[in-house]
Amino acid sequence: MPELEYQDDESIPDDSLLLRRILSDPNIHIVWDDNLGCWRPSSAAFDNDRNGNPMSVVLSVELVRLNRSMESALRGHKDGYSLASVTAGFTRNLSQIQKIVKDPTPEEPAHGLVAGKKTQSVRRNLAKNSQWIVEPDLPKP
Amino acid sequence: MSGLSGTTWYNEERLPYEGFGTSLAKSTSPEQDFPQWWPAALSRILFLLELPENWDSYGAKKINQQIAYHAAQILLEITRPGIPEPSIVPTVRGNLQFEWHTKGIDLEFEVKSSVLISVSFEDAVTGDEWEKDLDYNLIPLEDVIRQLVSRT
Repeated sequence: MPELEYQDDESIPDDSLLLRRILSDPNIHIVWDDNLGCWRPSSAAFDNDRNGNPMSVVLSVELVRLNRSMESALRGHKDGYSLASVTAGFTRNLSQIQKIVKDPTPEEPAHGLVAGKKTQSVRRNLAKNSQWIVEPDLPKP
Repeated sequence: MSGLSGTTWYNEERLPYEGFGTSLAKSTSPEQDFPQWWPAALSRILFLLELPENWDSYGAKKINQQIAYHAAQILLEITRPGIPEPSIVPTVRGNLQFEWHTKGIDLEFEVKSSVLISVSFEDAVTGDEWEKDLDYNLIPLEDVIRQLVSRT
């Protein structure tokens, strides 16, 4: 669906979380940030899909409604994945407009999409301001 | 370290990429000094080339071998003594991205083709922040690499 057809869903509160699976392998999408003194997701982990379609997330507001834990966002993918989050409000206020919508699927009723151009700086800001929900167990380099 | 011959990064068993290191070596000057982390960086690129389709569970593409080759070439081109080891990460589009997050600087660039890279730079010390698409002119990238190296 073209980006223009998405309307931001205001029923998704600014303080709710957008959850994103991250491969726990530090050789792939987790980088050591010496400035922050921690392992964090790479900006490459916060991108639209390979064809430019909106970025998939799990919506915490929907998990709460479904009486599920945040960690359940990893169901079906538990082994080898960590879980990172950014707030909906932070995402909406990035330099390029990002629209957040509900997109339930049979596999994940809490599925959502973040539509909008993901420039390098948008991705970097998402990555730098993300928080771990399920943190990778990695030693300090 | 000088030249690529005699280094241990090249694994004869990685047959699909047999020509990768050899042709890269031919493209470099025999006098070029390689950083200590260079063999590890090349091993890492070879590792990323072996990721299958959908390696991120979100439908990511396999890493494009030509892109990987160009990425290694660009990394060699901008490398200078004292440059810290970059993180090397795959992107959903099958490209490679290099990242440095140190000394107050966040520098990232994604190699999208042989003539297009997207650079993002943020310096917490000076407040400088920009992003640019570069083609053949790598000077803006070389300038920030120089800043990164010179900062103590």
